Amino acid sequence: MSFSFPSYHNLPPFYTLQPNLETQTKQLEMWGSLVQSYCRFNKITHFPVGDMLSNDLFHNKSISRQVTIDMARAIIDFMVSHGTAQWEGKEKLRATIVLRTLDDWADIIYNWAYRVGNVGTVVTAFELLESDESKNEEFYKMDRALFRRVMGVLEKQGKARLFNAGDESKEGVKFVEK
Amino acid sequence: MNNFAVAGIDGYGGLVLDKNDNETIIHKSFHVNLYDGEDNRTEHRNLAAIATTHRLVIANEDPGKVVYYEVPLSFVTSVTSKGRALFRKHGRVYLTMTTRTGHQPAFPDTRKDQLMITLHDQDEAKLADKISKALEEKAWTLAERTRKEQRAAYDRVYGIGGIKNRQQQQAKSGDALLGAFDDLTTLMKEAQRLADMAKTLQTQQAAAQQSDGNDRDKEELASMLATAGLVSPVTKDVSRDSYYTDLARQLAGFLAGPLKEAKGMLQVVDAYAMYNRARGTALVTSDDFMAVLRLFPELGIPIETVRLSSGVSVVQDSAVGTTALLEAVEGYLARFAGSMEDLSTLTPVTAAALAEEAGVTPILAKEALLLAEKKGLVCRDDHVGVAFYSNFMRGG
Repeated sequence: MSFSFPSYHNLPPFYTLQPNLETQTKQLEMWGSLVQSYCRFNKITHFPVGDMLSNDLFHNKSISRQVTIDMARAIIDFMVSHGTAQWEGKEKLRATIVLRTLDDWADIIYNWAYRVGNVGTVVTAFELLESDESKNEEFYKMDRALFRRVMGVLEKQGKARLFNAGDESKEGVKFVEK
Repeated sequence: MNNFAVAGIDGYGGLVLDKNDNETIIHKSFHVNLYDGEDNRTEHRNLAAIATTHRLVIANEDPGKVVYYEVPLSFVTSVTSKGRALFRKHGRVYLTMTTRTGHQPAFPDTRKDQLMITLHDQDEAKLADKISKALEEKAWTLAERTRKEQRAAYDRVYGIGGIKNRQQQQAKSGDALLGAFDDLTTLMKEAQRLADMAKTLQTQQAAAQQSDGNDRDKEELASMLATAGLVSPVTKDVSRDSYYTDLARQLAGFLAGPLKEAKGMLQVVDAYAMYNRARGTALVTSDDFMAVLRLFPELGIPIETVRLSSGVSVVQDSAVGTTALLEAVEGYLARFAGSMEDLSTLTPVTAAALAEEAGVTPILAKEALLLAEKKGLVCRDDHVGVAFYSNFMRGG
């Protein structure tokens, strides 16, 4: 199954950076969301801007329109200012896409815990993130540092408690009924 | 041969007939083609042929490009017609002409001495018939004959001829010498009186110019003199203010109609061309035209001259202004450019298409689209040229 683009992705003006500022802002917003959804679907976090121009995200062959490098940078800039992307280095050649916010992850993991009946029990980080049962979950093989930050959010929300934080082999989490 | 010359048209694009000679139109055929002799091909298609009592006129009546070409019937030596035939569905009229000199030649040009006109079936008989009759009646010579008679009658009483006549009569009665001198002296006295009067009036007018007299009096004096045929070179200056004011009011009155038709906005160059065409003669210079436009606000005339962002100058009905332009765009979008409910139905609008649909010039259509873009109604697609779509990227 491939990513299904929204209908406006087939409209030529979407590929022209609009001179009307209000329209342009909305346009960049729409592109920002689209880039994020696309990357989420295809599990892309590393975003080399130049290479991505030929991707069917930025190059719509059916209408012969393509985003220019300048416009692509404008889109990433917009995402950066909204926390959904980060530039790697000063030259604006590569970016990292933030697929989910910490809050998003917190909800996803807590809902998972609820779903599989892990609320009230202690689960190791390994079991949560790397066991076979979690193979189809979005957080599968999540980076530990990120995981700890997500747990931090759940802790603040009073939905979880982290144990042995920092010790990769031992750290675990207890989900609390909320 | 180059027998045709451009014929005069009046300010409304109509053919000017010689009223003094009672010239009237006797037949008009539409959708005619002109051929050189029996040639098969021609570029002169879809014209009108107008026969008058005095001339044959060929007309191109495309709006905006109206032009008439005439040849006096006196140069036509014969006219015949042929009806439709098996492989020929049009009627034909053949006109043989002698060469005409002493005019400014214009299309159509025939190398042969015969012009062939193709027309609708059965119209050829009517046209040929009317031209034949006109050739018989020779209406153009009637005027000539009448004029000769009139001149002869006049000459018998007035002018040198008149004097001669009276001399003869008086010679008969014996007072020849005295009579001759009397008439000549009277003539000369009259002439001198006129010359003196002219001189006096001109001096008076010149003095009036320089004085700080009432402007209105100056105007009256100037117009009185003008009526008497004595137009001082400074007349236009003296009545300059009222000249421009009158012109302004006349122009404003004239522009009302065209402005309404053009949705309240016309390019200045178009308004200028239209106005001068309507005037026919005594054309207004572009400087005067612009000066007059500038007068509108102070005269309370609700027509503004505006320079648009693209550099184009337009005259604009104050009441209507840019609203009409935006409405034209919205109307077009609603009818032709798809619906926002289903983005896949959206289609582009170009300046050319909008111009045609809304009945405005392409430049104004482009201006309308740019304005709509500023207002967030449309968004642009810059690929080859620019096209606009309904704005599906609207904030809020």
